[in-house]
Amino acid sequence: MNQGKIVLASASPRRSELMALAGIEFSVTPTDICEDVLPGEEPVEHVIRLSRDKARAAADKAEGRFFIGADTVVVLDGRIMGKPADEQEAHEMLSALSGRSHDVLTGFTLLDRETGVCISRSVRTEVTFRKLDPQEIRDYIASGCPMDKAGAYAMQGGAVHFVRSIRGSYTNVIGLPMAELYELLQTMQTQPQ
Amino acid sequence: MTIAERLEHIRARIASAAATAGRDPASVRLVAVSKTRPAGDVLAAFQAGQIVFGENYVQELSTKAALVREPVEWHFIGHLQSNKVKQIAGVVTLVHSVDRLSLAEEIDRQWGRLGRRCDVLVQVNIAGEATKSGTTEEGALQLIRAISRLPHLRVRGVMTMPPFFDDPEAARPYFAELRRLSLLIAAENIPGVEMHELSMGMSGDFEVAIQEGATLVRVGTAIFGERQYPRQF
Repeated sequence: MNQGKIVLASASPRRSELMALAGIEFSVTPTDICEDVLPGEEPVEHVIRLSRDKARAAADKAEGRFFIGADTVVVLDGRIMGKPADEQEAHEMLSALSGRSHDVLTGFTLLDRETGVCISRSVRTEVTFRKLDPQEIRDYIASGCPMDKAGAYAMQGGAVHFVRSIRGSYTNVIGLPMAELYELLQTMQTQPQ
Repeated sequence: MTIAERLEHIRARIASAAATAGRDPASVRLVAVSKTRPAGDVLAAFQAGQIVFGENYVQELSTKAALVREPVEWHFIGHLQSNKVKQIAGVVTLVHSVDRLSLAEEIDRQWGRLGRRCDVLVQVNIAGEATKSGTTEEGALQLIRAISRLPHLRVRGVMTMPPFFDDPEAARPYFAELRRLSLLIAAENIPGVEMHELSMGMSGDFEVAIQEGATLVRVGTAIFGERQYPRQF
């Protein structure tokens, strides 16, 4: 499954780790795109648009054939939670997530520069938090971990004990739905040259 | 040429053939025959705006349908064995190749289990070729009457595969004959039976078929290139 160089358009070490765990050979090209939510944009539209923008931006500046872009958000009551701007916002986010379920939504795009084919898909996982008390939220924020994470937490980091259950893809919660991405990679790579 | 470019070219030819016949180009739907082509080709065609894909083999269709998550429509256009109907139940939106009552009954049973209804075309062997599937022209009406009693099937029209000719004009009489047959069947006003669809014409002769009234043309090679037989779909 290596008919063309694969480029991951993400600076996230968590995504890189997942790719490596899946045995996929790839290189990394971080991109710098505007991540604002457009007026009226649905969460699915948003993550797909950003994943496309990232894949395209990487294809504009790096060598390679297949470009992977991904964007992950936390969705609570139909509204996107991005990365917290400050500790105050991180606190608000974690308090809102406490004791209930939310969705982790990733949009991913695979762009084949050779054929111009660009396919985007999205994957949703339901995550349920146990009830958090204010002190543990403060402790978690003090660790610095929440600040660059969508929804102000990382399941594989210091928030492992917040999560009671997940329904759906586990790797999606980390930032890249690997089964779905691998399947799409295989599908696109078996195109005749 | 890429798949997107070839598709664009085919659409232009369809539009021009329809215009020649004084027909609305929107009345002709393109079925991209993706048999033997990998699922990646289906994605490439989908991205270029192609929605309907035709498959000939049950196993191949199942494999591809599982890989393509995009909202494409699958048509089954090949010879269908009754014992494989179950595997495509609910997956395909139109079966072009119903040629016997036992097959229709099995489609009825399998779609019935899903609480859904399957649209079908009756395949007619206009030329009476021994090597091709399809009911005889004489048997078509009787078969359609019998199918019309099945609750989970809806006959939407007829399909044919004329003999192969190098000259597309040579296929014209067979297309014209299918159209004539469909008008005769329509005139019977069988409850639940529509004769809106004429599935005829392939890469080599779809323009002639459109001039003779085709509403579904099944084009593979002209979109995807020469057939390939890869191990993976």
